[in-house]
Amino acid sequence: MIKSKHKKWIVVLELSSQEIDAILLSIKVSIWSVVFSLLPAVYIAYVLSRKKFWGRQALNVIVHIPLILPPVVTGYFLLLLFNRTGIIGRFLDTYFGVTVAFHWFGAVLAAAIMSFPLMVRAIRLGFESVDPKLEVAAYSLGANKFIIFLTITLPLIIPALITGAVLGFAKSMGEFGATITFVSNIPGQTQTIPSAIFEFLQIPDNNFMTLRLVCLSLLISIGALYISEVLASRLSRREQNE
Amino acid sequence: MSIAVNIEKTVGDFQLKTEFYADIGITAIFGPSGAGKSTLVNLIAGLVKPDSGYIKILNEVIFESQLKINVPANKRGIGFVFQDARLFPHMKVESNLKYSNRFGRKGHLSSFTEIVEVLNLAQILHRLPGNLSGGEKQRVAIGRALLSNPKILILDEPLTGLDEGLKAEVIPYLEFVRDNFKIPILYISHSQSEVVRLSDRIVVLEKGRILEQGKTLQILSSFSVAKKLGLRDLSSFVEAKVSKHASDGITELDFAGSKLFLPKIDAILGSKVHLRILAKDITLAIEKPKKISALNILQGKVDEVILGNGPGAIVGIEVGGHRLTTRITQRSLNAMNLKHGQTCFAFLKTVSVATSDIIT
Repeated sequence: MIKSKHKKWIVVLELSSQEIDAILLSIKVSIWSVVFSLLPAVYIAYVLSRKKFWGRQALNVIVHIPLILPPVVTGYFLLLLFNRTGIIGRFLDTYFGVTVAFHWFGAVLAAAIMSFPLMVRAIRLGFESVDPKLEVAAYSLGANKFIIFLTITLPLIIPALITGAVLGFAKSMGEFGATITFVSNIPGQTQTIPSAIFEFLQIPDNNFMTLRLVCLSLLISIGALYISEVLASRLSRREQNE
Repeated sequence: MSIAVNIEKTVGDFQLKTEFYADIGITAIFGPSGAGKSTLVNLIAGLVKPDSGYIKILNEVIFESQLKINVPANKRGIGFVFQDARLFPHMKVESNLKYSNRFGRKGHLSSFTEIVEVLNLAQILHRLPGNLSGGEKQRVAIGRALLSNPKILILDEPLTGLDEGLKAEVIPYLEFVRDNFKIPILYISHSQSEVVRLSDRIVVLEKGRILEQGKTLQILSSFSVAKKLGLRDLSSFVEAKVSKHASDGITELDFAGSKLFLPKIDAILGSKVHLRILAKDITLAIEKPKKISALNILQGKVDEVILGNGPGAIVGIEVGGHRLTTRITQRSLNAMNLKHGQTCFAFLKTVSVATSDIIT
């Protein structure tokens, strides 16, 4: 069960294989969650900040629903939709032979949905800080709208993209309610750091293990935040100094 | 190359209705804020759609309401220099200049090296716009617009927001562009001195309508324009040629067949300068005064008398093809018995042409 490259960790921290699995799964789930939601978040943020259309407010509310619903409720809805008899679950099972519920990929789905509003909000702030007059200027130089998006708008929102991605990653790392409802808490399969901490808390006199995992989770989150800050400040320094 | 505009647009309770024509050289679109200048250029540029009418560049129709022709802004071939420059903050000056060539209109009205040279941009090519002065930004914006192969150029208040020093830095470049690129330039402004210095023709806008259009100096010296626009001080704008810098600190200028004497001005011998003469600084006499301290005495003919509502009157005097406007009291007017076509003498003290009004 324990791969050789993990041995060093174990020696230093004396982590159990259950803890290692939870940590690796959490990182994997969070990365995939960001990868999957980044593009849709950019699109929705762009539409919400730049387009005027009927139903814009409705879309805004729908995007924000996971933020205001109890996570358990979101997890329950996911379960309804994706379990083998649910509308989407049945479809996936019939045509692809895939079951998302109680699978690590279900944890990705739960994390992505829970972190989506945060990412949209961060990226939307980025779009709103880009002066549309710059896009008009590029338009007057003969560029078409798609080129303008790629050459003017997108480069200018990179700091907001980084912020959005890190927020999404951190939120995914910490997602608990929807995840445990949707994919349960199976060690080595669907058990992320928060669900492992929850399990350890159920065991009497297990403060040490709990605390160790809590500290590790803190470290990963702070590390992600630090990297994003460094990236963002490097970008803005490049813009000001060169 | 020329542009012909005849459009109408209603926005809320504001209605814009204009018809004008602009040829090679600078045509000023002049008027107070709220006159519709920005609306007009947005309509021409294609950023806003007119309700009716047409816009033609040379013989190419870029808008025609009845034929439903509406060429999108990026295909109109109109170069734009905005008041706020709008350089792309994440690109160096060089990339800003090359933007249209890489991503937009390609063409060869002017080459990159030529633009860098005439606008003096070589030193700042590798800087980001955030580190440029306001004047440098406008020079880059002008270069960027010229490199987009424009058929016409629109300058939307390019000097507004710059202090006097920076204005003086940018103006010679605008003159160079005017004199060396054979395209029509629309210069939007509410500044009399900029318009007088840069433009040959002027379109005066007020409340969405064209009040007057014609030669800049004539139109701006007109009393009716000054009155309607509420220009602060009624003035005459004239052009004179520097003929001598005398040793006693006086500069002599040729004007309308006679001479004007001004305190020393910084202008090369033989160069033309524009002068602004305030109406209240001109005094009139029927006979040529003798032994008077005023140096500048011009002979002319009364060609317009307008009585004001108060005790004042405006008298327009034609001096060798130029028009001077002066303001006197109706009492003086009656005492002197001034009539249309009557010969008279206008004199102004040397000091009455303020240095700040000398537009070199």
